[in-house]
Amino acid sequence: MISEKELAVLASLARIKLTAEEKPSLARDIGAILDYVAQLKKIKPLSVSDSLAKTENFARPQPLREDDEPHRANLMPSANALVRGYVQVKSIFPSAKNDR
Amino acid sequence: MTGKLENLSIARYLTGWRAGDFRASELIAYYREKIARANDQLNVYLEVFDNAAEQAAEADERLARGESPRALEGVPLALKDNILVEGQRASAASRGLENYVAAYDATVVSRLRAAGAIILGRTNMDEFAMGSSTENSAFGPTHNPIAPERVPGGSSGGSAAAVAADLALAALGSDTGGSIRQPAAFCGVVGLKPTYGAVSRYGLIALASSLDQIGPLARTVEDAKLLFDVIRGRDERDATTLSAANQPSAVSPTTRKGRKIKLGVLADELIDGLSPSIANSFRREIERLRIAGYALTEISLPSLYQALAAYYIIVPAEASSNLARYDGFRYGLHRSGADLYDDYCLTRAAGFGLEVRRRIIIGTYALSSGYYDTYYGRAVAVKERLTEEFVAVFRQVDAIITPTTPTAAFKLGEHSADPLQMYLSDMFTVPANLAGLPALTVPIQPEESSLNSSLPLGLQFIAPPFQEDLLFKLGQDHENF
Repeated sequence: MISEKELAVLASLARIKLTAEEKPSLARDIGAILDYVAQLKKIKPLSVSDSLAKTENFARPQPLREDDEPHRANLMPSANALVRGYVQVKSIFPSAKNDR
Repeated sequence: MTGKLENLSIARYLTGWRAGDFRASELIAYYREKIARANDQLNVYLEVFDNAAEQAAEADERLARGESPRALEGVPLALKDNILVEGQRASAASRGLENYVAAYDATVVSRLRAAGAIILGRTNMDEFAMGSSTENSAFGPTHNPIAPERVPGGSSGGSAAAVAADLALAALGSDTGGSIRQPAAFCGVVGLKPTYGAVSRYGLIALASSLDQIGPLARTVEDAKLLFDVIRGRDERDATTLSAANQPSAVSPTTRKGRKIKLGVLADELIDGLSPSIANSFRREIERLRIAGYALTEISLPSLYQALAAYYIIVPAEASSNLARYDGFRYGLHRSGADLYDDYCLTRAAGFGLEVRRRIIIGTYALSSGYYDTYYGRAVAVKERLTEEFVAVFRQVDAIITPTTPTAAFKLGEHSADPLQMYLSDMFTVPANLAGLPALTVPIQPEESSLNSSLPLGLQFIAPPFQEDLLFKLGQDHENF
């Protein structure tokens, strides 16, 4: 089960605005799914050393892409708003002066 | 003329084209005309690309000049809408990416182009590959060509339907928990999920990066192999790819010379729990394999019973991370709110459909402090134990057979109100993804006495890592029964 309050917290972490209408059915559906996957609680978790031993095989050197112009002609036009070649967003600390 | 072009395979097309029986441009015109007639009803393609005819004409000219044809010269393919083709839209069937134009080719696309293949268009899918019916597309469901009131399966439903309805020679899809194999079974075509790491994911819109694989859907096993051989291989741009030669296989390929191939079958109780039609069809196939000379033995995978639960923690967890990038600032749908945080929340609410939002929230829950070990940590434990159990089983048998799906194609709308019921369609396909194993589905007919004897089913073969060749052999033997 998941309460609408918990759902609201999760939605804010996921940065998704939910409507009032959809919250009850979402809470119910997500609750049912979480109830189903809760059978995993009976499983013994792996120890940290177990997990590391298995993932180490995949930690191979990652090749780096060569430096080139990242602001390619076919990328920038997709941006929602551009100002002097920069992707424009609202300020992180809202103030009337800075926001467009 | 169109008679010669109907229901071709890649292999028969290449033979006929090279012999001058028809031109590549005729085949493109045939498909475009068929798509124009069928697509309104079936909703297979989200877009047919304009440049296919031009590429086909070039292929014909190359042949006329006597140039040596490349491996897939002039072969028209459909691509799932989550595989990037430079300069073309790729939306993952989401409103959030409805007008996104790909800035680069996926590696599989570069390899297909280098082999001379032609991309006909992008096919419908469940949004961000989340679904098993193609009903979660933001652009309407695809209809099963064999029974249009039913689903084609998902999430590569459009690709499976394109092959089944003869709207392309073959197609590519992606498979995270069965999204190639289940629609292939529902539509009566062949589908391959390669070994994890066999095919590059560069340019595949990610769902769950530890499970996703691109693979072929085709009319024949030979065609699936032809496509796989072109798209496979190490890619510098995807560090999770491995070349078959260098892969650290936990199980060395068993030597089978002079002895019967051993196939593992899951315990009866799992099959008994299915509908009589599926159970009887599957048992019939087992008997045919036994008569054909295969040795069959019962195997056990104790972690199988938790596999689906583990999958439905791991995928939402990884999806919540992978889909965090969609904020509408650099590309995609954008909504403006009161402040920056509001911009994110409104944009993502408007761009993502219900199933996508559900899974992102579940993933956020599973990864959150206090729940991480309870859910995600344990799901990874199941994944690792299941992988070890497969390794042990492959010491006794060469491959494993299962039904591909627990049911035939269900009706549109039948499961869309109950997400958990939808998830159960994946019970036989998910284990191969969790263990990173290659798996092939081939079409079989249900028992004639069953209620839906016109609906195809699938028989699934699962092999050890990088033994796709064994799968192709099993599949082709089955085709020759």
